[in-house]
Amino acid sequence: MKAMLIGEVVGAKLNPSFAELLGFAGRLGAEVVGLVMGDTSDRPSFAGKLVLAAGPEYAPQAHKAMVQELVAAEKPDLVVLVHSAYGWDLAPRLAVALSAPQISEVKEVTDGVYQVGVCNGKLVRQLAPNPGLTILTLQAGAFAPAQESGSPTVENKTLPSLPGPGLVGYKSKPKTGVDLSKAERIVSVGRGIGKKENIELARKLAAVLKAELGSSRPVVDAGWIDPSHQVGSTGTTVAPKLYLACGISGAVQHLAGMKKSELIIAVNKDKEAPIGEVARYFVVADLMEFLPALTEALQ
Amino acid sequence: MMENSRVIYWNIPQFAVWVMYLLAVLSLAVMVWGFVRRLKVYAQGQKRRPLDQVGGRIFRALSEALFQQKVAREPGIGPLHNYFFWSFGVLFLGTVLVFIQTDLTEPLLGWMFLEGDFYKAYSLALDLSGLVAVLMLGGMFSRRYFFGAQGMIQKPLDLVFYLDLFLILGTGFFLEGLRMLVTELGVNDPLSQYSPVGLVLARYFQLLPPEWVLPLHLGLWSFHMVLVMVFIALIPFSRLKHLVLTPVNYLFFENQPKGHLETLNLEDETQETFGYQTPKDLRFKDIYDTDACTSCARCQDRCPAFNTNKPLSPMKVIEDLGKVCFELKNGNLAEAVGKEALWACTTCRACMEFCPAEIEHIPKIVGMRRAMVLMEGEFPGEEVAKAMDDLEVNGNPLGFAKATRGDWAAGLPLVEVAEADYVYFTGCYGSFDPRNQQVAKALVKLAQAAGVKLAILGKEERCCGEPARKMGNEYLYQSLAKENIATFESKGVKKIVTACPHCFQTLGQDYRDLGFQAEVLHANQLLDQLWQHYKFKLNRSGVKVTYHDSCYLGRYNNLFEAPRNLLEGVGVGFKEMEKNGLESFCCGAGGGRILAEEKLGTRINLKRATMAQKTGAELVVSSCPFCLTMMEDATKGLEGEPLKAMDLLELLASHLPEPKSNEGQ
Amino acid sequence: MKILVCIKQVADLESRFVVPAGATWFDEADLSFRINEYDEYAIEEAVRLKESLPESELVVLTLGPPRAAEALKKALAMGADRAIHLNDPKAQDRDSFSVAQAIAGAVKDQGFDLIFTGMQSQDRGSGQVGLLLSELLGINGVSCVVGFAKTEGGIQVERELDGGLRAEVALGLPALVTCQLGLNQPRYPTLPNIMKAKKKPLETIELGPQTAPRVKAQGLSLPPKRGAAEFIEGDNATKVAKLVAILKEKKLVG
Repeated sequence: MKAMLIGEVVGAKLNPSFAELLGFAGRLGAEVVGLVMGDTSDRPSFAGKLVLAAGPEYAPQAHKAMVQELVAAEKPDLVVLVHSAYGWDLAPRLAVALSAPQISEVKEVTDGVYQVGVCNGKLVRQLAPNPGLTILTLQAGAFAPAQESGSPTVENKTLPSLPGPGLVGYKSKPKTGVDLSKAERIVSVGRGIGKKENIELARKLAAVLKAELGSSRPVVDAGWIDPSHQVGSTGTTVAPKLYLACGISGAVQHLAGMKKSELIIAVNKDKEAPIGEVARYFVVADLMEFLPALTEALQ
Repeated sequence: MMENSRVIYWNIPQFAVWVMYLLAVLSLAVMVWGFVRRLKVYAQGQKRRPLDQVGGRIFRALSEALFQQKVAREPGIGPLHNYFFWSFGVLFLGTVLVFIQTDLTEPLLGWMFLEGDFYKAYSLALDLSGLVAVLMLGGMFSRRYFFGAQGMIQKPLDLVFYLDLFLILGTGFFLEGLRMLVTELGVNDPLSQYSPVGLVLARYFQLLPPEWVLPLHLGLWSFHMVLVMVFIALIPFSRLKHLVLTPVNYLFFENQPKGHLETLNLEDETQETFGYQTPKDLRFKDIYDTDACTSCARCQDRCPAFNTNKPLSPMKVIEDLGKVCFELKNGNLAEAVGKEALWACTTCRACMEFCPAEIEHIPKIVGMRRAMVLMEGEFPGEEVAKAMDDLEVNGNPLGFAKATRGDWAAGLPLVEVAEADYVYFTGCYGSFDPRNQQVAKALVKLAQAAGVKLAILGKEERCCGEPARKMGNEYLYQSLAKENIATFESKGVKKIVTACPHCFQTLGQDYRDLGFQAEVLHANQLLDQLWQHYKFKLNRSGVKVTYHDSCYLGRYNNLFEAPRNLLEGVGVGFKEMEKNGLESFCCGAGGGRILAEEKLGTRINLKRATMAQKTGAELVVSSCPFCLTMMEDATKGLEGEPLKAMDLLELLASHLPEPKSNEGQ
Repeated sequence: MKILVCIKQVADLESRFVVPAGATWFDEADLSFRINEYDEYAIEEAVRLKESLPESELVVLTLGPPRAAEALKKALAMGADRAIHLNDPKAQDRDSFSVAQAIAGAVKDQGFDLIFTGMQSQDRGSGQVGLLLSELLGINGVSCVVGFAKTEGGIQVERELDGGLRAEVALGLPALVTCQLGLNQPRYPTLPNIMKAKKKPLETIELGPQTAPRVKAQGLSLPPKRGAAEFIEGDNATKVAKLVAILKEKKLVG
């Protein structure tokens, strides 16, 4: 089996997620052809062949043409990308150009049957592509990155110049106060924190976890924190990867605003608190003891 | 023996009397013009439906105008206003009698009635009324300008008419004194006893050089007459307009149960605007209300939004609406009033309940919200737009799957709808909120103890639509209502009980407009009936509680006694909050505010919880899922003595005897 | 200008999904449906563009079972001029490619200058149909747009990348963009527009069964059951150690 792995270059840097593609190929025991398009000096370490195509890092028509050319030459069984802004943008173009089936955001594979999450991970779908070349995008983080080993044989190419969408430049997302709705991690405090000064404990933990600080409504009611931090149906509705609820009992309005989070961990003294209905893990603890100890352990 | 009477127009030359009549006609003409010109303002709105029950309306208007029961409800200003009104009324009546005698009965019939004992009584009544009027006017004046009354709107003409009234009353007494000095003092002393104030003044006037008396009297009389004419002409141009406009407003009151809102006809495809966008969308009564307002500030004093520093004053809403209407330019109403102000209303109805002028604030506020939502797609915040979306898709504002609505009742002793005594309409909070699910379970337990069979609609139940309706989303409300009505009708439901005052109001009253007729009870009513008939027993305890009256149970439906009877049944140490009953202070969640973030001012729920805490109670008991949610949040943040929030049903269920000793049925 | 917006009606994610034995899709009884959230942004952006350009036409299209017509009605109420319903009672069995193929077949001769779609659907989440469609039509396409501007002779968009970075991309017309959440603030339809929408044309085209799917669904299952919360108890150090281990396992800390 042969897999063509396509790396993502942003700002002249190769995205380290390339190692996850290598990990995936390693699990299948596939022969690897790496393809990195864009001007970068980053070189991944693996055993196999690496094609470096110089040119713009986002130019879908040129990238598509380069993959087509290489697929014709290498005849891989799989073309694999990470399901990212680059991967999901290029993969469907390849599917049409190469008349190949495409499967998105693969999180597991067994015997040629791919598992993908649907309905926000509430269900898992098993998909089988038609025989022949298949285009895959892998769910970020689903496959363990390969340990760096070996050095590939390098082939240098230049991207053709083709009309189509072209990169004008990059810019940072405008920052406006706390925007919890897009936060990937949230440490949220409820009345169980006791008093205004104690919010600092949660703020420190949030800093260590690179998380935003959220809160329940009573904390805002009490004037301990600015209303922009309020999570819930009467505040901001959030769906982060991690929601750490500290001293939040879980009023329905709060639950409605955060229960779609991927991983909910509750820290509460009261085992009966309704937050337990949505939490995956429930740490039965006193916040004053637990939060500083956790912060220290993570530092 | 001297004649017990007086010479009318004593010391007044005939030509001066003619001038007086001329001026009177002139000032009356100004007054009439002042009122007539308002008609085109009133006419901007929609066509008024003809008044029903005209006799009853006139009776009510007269009774309110003469006896002023609503005005009297306010301590302080109420009695001041009423005694002033009655005493000034007597003075006015006195003047009318003079007119009747001099210009009608005497010239036409040769009959004079201001004589003898009647004149004595007349004299005394007028003299004392004048004194009362001066004192009351002084009281009102000092309240307005020196003490107490906060947030009143002061207009320049206010001072003018206060001055005018003081001078009319003052010159009246001086005229009486000067006349009595000549015609009664030492001439008919027994008669002078019937004008005690005049007599005192007359005695002082003895100090005047005698040759001053007659010219001074004539001069003062002329001044007095000019002041009266000014007063009459001023009526339509100042706060005094309420003398005419406010009593008339009692004729126009909406003959509907409390809390009624117009059910919009959404099938009518010719309709291009919905809600109150501009004055032409207003009802006649809405425009008239803005003119009948006396700016007394009673609404504002009780408004939970105003009292927590939000940009809403019901009084100012009416004033701002009036300004737009009187501009005659069909301007935008919501912009004039301020959108933040309109969204801040909790529809608690304290304003309407205490308005002495029968002004309907809430239909106007909801009408303007309707225009914002239905015509502009605007909401007070994204969270409300999301709740609307969830209501549309899942039939509840919290976004839970509609299929899980009945899950809370798994394993509980409920029966099929066909076998049930009552269908328990659980509502969104009872169905989905873990805290309020406890209340729902408590009701099931109580019903079981009392031998009442309950059923629920489960996944077929939808939100009653109340929060959407109060937020102005009549379209969404009606689509939810129609779904529920169709479900009730398909199952032949005749009797419904609910633990939510908002569902209660909506199913029991609002759905009537959509043709739904089932009997709807609040759980408090049902349990009170069962309690009165000894259908269940309760253990007694001494826990200290206070009761928070939900707006929609109390002010809207006058259900004050049932919960208190039941509290008495558990024998708890009960203490009222200062603001209870009709004066109850909203929790902050009505009017669809349960869906919205409270971004402005201080927290209403915290203010209310603090009032509960002041009673020394351990428990603040309420009978509404929204109140419970707000009180739960507030009590968690309360400093000082701990206070717990509980629903009455939970308190009762926790006082049920153990099942084996239950022989209540 | 002729504008097309392609939308999908999806099950509300709060739904309690039931998968009958051997089925490849969930049972739709008792479920609530709504417009795919990403598509609402697409509709809004399309309506804004249409409103800014006189003489333009906005068509909304969906491929789905009969219930999907509800989604079209909402899009019409939001401001689309007419609607096309590619009706397929078995739409859930189609793979992304056959969906894109069917849409391309229906619109290829209509000369659309701009096509908006959601970046992905909330149920399948493959993120394929938009760009498959642009490729099949042979026009420019760009995905994951959080900023959109019409320029002289083309458009300039902002694509959302990881880590708060945005890429500015320029492309010529005709073009297709797939819209990411946050692109705009989708409007709430006004009542007069809801009433007008009832009279706007809605064309239903019956689709035949899909031919030669490229990907076959073999099954649909619930993920390993995640019961009630797992309690972490014990002394403070134990609890901290356990939680750190969990965070590491979930790759939330290094």
